[in-house]
Amino acid sequence: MATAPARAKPRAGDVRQPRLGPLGWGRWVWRNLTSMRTALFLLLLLAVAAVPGSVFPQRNIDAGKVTRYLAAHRGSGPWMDRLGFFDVYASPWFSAIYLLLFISLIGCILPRTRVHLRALTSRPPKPPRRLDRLPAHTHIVTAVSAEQALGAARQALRGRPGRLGKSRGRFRVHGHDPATLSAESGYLRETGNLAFHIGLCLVIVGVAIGHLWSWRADVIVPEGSGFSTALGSLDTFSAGPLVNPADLPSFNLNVTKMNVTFEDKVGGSQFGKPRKFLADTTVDTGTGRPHPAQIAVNSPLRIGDAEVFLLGNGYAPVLTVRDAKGAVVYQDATPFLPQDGNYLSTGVVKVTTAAPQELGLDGLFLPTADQNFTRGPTSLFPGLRNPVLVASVWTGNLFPGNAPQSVYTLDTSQMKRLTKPGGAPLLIRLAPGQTVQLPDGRGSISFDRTVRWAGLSVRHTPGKTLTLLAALAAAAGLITSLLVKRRRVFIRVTPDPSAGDKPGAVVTIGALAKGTDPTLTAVVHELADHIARLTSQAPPDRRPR
Amino acid sequence: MIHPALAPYANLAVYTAMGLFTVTLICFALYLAARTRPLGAAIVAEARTPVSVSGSHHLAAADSHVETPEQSPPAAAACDPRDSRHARQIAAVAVNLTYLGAACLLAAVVLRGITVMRPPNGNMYEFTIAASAAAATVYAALARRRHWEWLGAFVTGLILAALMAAVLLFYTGAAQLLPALQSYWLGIHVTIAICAVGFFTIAFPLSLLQLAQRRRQTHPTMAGHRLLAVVPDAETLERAAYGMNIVGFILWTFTLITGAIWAQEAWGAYWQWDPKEVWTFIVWIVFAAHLHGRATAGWQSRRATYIALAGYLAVVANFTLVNLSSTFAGMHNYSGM
Repeated sequence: MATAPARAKPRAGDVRQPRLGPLGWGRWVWRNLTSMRTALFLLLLLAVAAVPGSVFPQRNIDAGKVTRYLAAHRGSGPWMDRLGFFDVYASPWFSAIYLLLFISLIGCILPRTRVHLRALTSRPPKPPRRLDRLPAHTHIVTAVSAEQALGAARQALRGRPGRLGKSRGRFRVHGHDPATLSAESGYLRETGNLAFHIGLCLVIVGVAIGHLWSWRADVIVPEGSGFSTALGSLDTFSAGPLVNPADLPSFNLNVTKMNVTFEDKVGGSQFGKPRKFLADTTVDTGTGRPHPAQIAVNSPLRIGDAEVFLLGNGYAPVLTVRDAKGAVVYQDATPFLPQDGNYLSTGVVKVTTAAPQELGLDGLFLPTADQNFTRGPTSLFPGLRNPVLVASVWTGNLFPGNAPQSVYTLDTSQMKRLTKPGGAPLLIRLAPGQTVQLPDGRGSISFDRTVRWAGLSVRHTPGKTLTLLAALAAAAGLITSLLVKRRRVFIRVTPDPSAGDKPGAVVTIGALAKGTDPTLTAVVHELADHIARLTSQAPPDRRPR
Repeated sequence: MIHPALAPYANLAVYTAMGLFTVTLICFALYLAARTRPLGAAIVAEARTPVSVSGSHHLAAADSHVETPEQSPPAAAACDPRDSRHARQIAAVAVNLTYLGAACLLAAVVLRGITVMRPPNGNMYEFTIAASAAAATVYAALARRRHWEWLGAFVTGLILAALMAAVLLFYTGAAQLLPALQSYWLGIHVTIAICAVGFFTIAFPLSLLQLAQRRRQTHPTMAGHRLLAVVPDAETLERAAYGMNIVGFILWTFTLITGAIWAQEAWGAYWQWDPKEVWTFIVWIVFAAHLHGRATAGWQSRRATYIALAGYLAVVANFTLVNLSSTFAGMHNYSGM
């Protein structure tokens, strides 16, 4: 896509500007959009536009962080939100850049494919008049007739590539007139280039298929319980616009044990780092006979079209709440969400069956609590070494207005916090096996034991195979286009004027390459050597040198 | 960890390499100094009339070709016979020391790998050591073949700086990996990334030198610059940097692809605009722009070089800022720090 050569500047008044109709304007826009300069500009713009998405919190990665950022930046936050800074990769401006880039790409691929197909089926062009003007050239004097020299040149061009053959490839040879030869090699370079760009387009197609037809469901499952893919049993379900939820594969999955180990042998920054996450599960795909299966971080479980990933884990304290008479009103494992590397976890327990009023706990779970709480409630290690549950207790209406709410937050707008006899807020602190009596005949809360939970994600991503194959094709095309050299070689044979009566011919070789080709001169010399060898063997007249 | 007893030896190999590269750096600097002195004037004159790429006419028999600039770099580039004997001796010592240093770094990588019985690519310390080893190996393999002795001071300087950062800032004890990293893709994805960084690291000083050299070739006041007088002309430097950058770019393409495959395996999504993914993408885009800029008719090669330099800075930012700054916190939190 070379730019047009500079034209002589016309004097003002010399030319009347032609009026561009809608078609003309369309053509002008298309020309500019598909020019290399525009593509280059869009590429750089895309790189710059991608940066804010890594600097500011993104909703698709961590919506909670976005909320916190908005709370901390009340002035600029809403404006940034309006401009899409928290959804950069779905924002109109980012989409505009990559869509324009791909239109530009297609506008580049189409004409180039046409040109390349034509080149593949046509002969190398006629030689220029002066071969010594070409970037690489040489000439040799032979002691054979011009016809013999031309024959040798043709043989050298058609012959097997020599030492540099790997980068040379075969020449396509044609003689436009009896004294010259035109040869071209390295058509694969453009083929690879087109494969690269078409591959990139197909990557986008694969991503788009994934966007339209993929679905994912996330669920947190404490040990000993399970879920089914029937909607309603899943915590969250999100699907592309063309997904039919009825097509989801149906299965039940139970987590029997969540195996977790943390580093406790090496000190320093590695102490407490996770070392193993492995969920033992049983899966029932509707046969009625559950079979065991393991899910680990790098080995998802495949069930039909879907894959089940282990993406998180944490602790779920098992609590028993009794009423004033000692009857059990609640007994369940409640998942708490880890907040830091040592699994300081937050969670709430909602007991709707408590009497006389509904009961809510807003708590912290510390798997390895600091004995004295010297720095407040902290966890010193992510493993279960000294588990402690700390919670404030609330009574009243758990679901004001029966509005839907998260299971991880307590809406205390219609609740009252329980207090100690002196009036200070009540904070219960329990180790496993301990029970605390609530004031005012509200019964008791027991912390029975702790189980772990597995954070599982069931996903189906169609189009990923296409994306992968397209990416690999693009990479193969890239390698080909960067390593194969497209070269044109021209040879002209003229009678040697100094030979007198004896046969003699001067063979001039000139070559040019597309792009950088540091071995072009070497290739020319290799050809010259080859021709010299062929002609020196040719009897009968060998001119001594 | 299977062989904790080996850990100190891996560290010892790193320290040895640092010592060796310090001496190597000094030797390469002495070599540059030795070259500038006796040859300065002659080379300045030569640089003013650049050797024509196609300037080799030869009517002689075909077997007596004149060596062309492309087969061997221009006279100023080579560790050529006009170098004083003293300079050639220093260059030989420096290159041999480079071999030794590269071998030491490779030994450090292997020993660390045996210590932890996994690919030694698991944290910033291991990555830096391995990337330094990659850069050192690439340079060691090319130094003599391409007569790149003049580049040694710059490459060993960069390697030394990286090793110092590794030891002083990124040091992480030998330990096992986070569950997310326990995959054979660690050996594939990260090793390819390390090799890519190795090639980009060689291209970086070449591009810087190229810009300086271009300035010298166009500004008569700089013509007498003695350091630049012993470096090849800007076009040769540009071609050399391009050669390194395309290998790096191809490897970076595979870094992206293997990373996406692994992300699908580990996180259930091959692309989710995690900060590390974003920056790997940015690096790829910037180098793609470099290659396109270079191929665009009418575009100054100086501008394409600026883009390549920006690409290398993005590689460095991707490794340091994105790994360490909490602003960029994402799912790739494997710095080990």
